[in-house]
Amino acid sequence: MSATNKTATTHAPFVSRRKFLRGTGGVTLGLPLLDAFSRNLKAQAAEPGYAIFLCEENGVQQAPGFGPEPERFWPSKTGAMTTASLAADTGRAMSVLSAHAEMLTAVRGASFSFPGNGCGHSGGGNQVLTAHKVSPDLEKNKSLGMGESVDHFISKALVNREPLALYAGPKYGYINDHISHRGAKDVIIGENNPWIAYSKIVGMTGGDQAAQKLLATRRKSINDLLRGEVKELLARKDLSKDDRTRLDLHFTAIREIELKLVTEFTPAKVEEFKAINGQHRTDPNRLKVVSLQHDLIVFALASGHSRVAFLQVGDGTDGISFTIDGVKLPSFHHISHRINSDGSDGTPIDGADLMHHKIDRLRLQSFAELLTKMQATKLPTGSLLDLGYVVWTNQIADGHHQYKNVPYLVAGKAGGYLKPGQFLDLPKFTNNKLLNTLANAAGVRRAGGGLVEDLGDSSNPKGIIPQMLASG
Amino acid sequence: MKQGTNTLRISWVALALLAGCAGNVDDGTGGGGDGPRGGDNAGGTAGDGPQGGSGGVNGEPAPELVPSSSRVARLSHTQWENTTRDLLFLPQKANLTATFTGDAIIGQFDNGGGTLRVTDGLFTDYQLAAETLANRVANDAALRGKILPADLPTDATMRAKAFVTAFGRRAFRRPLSDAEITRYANLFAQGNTLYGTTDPLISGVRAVLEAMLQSPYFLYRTELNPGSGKPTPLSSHEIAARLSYAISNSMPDGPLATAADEGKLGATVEGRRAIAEHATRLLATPAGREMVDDFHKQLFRLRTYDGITKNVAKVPEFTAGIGADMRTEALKFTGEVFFESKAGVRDMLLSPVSFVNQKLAKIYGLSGTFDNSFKRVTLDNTQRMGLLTLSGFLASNAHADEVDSIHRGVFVHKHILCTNLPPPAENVPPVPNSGGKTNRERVNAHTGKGTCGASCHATIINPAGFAFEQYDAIGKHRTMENGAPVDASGTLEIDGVEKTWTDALGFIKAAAETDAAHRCFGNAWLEYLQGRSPVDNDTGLLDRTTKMSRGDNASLSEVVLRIVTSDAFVNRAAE
Repeated sequence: MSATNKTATTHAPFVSRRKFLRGTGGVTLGLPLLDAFSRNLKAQAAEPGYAIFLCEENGVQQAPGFGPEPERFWPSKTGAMTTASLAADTGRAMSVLSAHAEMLTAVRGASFSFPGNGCGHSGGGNQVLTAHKVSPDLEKNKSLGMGESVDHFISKALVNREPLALYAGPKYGYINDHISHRGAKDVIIGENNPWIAYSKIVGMTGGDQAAQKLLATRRKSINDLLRGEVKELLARKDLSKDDRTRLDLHFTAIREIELKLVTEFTPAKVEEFKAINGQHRTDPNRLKVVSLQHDLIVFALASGHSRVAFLQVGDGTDGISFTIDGVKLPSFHHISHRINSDGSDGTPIDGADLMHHKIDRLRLQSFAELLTKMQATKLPTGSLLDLGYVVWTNQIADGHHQYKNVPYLVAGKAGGYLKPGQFLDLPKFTNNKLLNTLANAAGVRRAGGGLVEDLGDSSNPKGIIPQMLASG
Repeated sequence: MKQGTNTLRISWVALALLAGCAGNVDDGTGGGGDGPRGGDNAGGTAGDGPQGGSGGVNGEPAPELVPSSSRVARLSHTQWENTTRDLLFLPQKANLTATFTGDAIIGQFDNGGGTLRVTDGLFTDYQLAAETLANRVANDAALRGKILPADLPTDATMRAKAFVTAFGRRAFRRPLSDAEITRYANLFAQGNTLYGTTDPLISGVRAVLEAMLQSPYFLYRTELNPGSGKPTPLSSHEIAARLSYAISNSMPDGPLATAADEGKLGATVEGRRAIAEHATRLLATPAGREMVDDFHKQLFRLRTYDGITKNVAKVPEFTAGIGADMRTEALKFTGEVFFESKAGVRDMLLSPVSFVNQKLAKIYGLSGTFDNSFKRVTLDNTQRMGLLTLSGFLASNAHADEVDSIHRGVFVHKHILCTNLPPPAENVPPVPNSGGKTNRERVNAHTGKGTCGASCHATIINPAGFAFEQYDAIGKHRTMENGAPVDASGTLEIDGVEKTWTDALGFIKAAAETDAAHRCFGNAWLEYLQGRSPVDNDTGLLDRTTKMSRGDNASLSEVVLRIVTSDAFVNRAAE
């Protein structure tokens, strides 16, 4: 799927946001956006092409999944989707998104093209954003994707850098990061501590203006030296392609670090980030961590730090124990399997399907809160939802590890490219077509202006989903 | 377990392999390193690549070759912590990597330097960590004094060069070029300007530390010596770094650095003898022990023991913190086999020794007085034998209140026998809670003969898992399940030979005598010590470690020494 191993990509011409920041001296940046942000700053020029990818775990409660379980996820009617119609669908998890119905495209029918290898969670996660095959050589049951994921593809094409990669939850070491990929078997690691992610995004913090200026000068001197050393290594002709690729990434990292922003959230929000530091892996804090990561994503996109962000919620077999309506539920992974087990044999959990449904509602409520934040983030020509989109998806379709009917909910207009406000219940299609559509919606085009239609493994049928387009 | 023979055995093996390696460097096809313990592989096993059986013909071991490897292998986070501690003479690790951007792990271990990357996030981490450490050390007279040369000149320019030369030699693990000395001396001279301070020594030291700790020559273990020949011998400094990071996960210590400076490490007989001596010395240090623990933690997934959860209503012996106790037990056991008993793969699988505290003693049904400390015990050898009957393996591969035969079987195949298992089918429904009284009956009804899982589960995975049916969800021994006798018997083809047993001990004894098990341990050690996944060109070396281990009952430390003195360790493939 790489922008370099297939036809070259391009995007609509615009002034690079990062260059713009550099032009201002890279010292302060204004964002009168969310209440969380300081208000003494100025907004950036608007430009299309923002993409956010959220991936949850363990599938959703939907039919057909476990025998006679009724459908409780998708809207009951296909076609136009309005606030009123979703709100009336009280038995369906998606009803919690009713306030954003006009910005939503719910797409049912997506399937992964390839079987998993080892753990079904891992194999699904490997494909949900890559549409590539799964690695044949397993390590501890953890497979990897065999190609680039769409988030990385878009980010590299738009701004030639990696997407902002975040994570919510613990990393127990079984299957942690497994979704976003730079390329074959090259998974991107997300930061699961919002405080650290915040610190990295914001860059220089603390100190007075003079101290910050001194720090900036010193870092520049040292980075110049380091850049020279990495260039020295890259100039060698006797290094392997792999070594050169890794050094090139290192070189890019040095360049990017000079572009860090110097801005702040409001002091109250900063305190929230600080407070979660060290407590970010616990089950009770999961939703708070997700919320803070959402704040960072919105901030990073609106400020120009990133154009694409990715958030994985939970590890590959998310075993979080949610407390809903005052009741502490069993491990979510067990609930998704409907049995007291991480494997395939165990005693049944009574009412597991309803528990799964309640968890779906909780997760979609969190998604709704992100949409509210994006809607409230106004750039000169529209909100982040007007100019970009956010995708909510899952590594698998349901607790059966099914790879068909994997949920993809897309919120946003993408600068008018997408036609939200509809539930598309499509005949089975391979998920690469959806990924192609999303790449085009972000403004990426093949050289010569042609649509991106060939993401994922070359054996996938090419094409997009025209029903999703405003022009379709 | 064997006792007290390690030093003698290591020396003997080392000398034997040195004789075998001489003169085989340049053509890259030498069978160096056989010695009395090398030689034939007794029989191939199924499987692809180096994990499989002998690559040679007519029972002869395959030629020992030198595979390609990265020439810029990034330090793992563990190695970064250890190295900064040792480089800066810190009293303990700075513990800054806890917040570093995580690495994508390719392979079984986190030290695959040729796959580790410096991303935007990680570069930020390195930058902040370098600034933190530079500030700390430069402004602490005691710490600063430890990194300054003893005879520091008074002339500012000479002083800068002297510091850069001495510290740079340790930071980059090789002497600096004149251009590098000039580059960093210039930075040293800018110190006061860069920090807005007035003491040129403190600011100069701080600037150089800050930069060197972010330098690619520090962050990567580089092998850039042009050399010649196919394969290309590594320089003495490159070998020192390879060895040091293999055995102690840190920079070369004083004696090893001196040996490197004196050119004593190399592919010659004398060079390999020196490598063996330093490897033996380093293994005996706390860093060596820490490395062996790290190896086993990663190989056997011991870190996951913290996350073991059980249905305490049904298994009340599973009390808070017992997962960590199980990990301690496993590490004490593997350490005992490697160091105290100086034993090999057989003892890893067969020894009835363990280390238990009050909580674990209940699982094993031990009588006597136990408290929170761990006491060395000999378990009932009619019930327990080696790593696979320890509580941690059994409890971590089990459900909340039932055994998990499938995952026990998968673990044994992946980590003990290195079986290449085919991928599972898609959309496998859960094992129904019916089909028999016992777990075995239920799993068989779902995945056994006559089901869709017959080809893989019935003949490969399940037999290895059912062998442990006599151990419940937390590893307690049992003979009955739901009123029915437990059946742990089975049959499995290993090394192309059908093995039959009636209980776990029978299975483990059979496995311990297979090439597959001995090769699998060699494979893991090769991956860890070389910091890369084994490839086909490693077949010859693995043939030899297998022969040593199985045929000659070599200790695990002998296998380690064999690998770090191999052709593949002292050479790199020609570009």
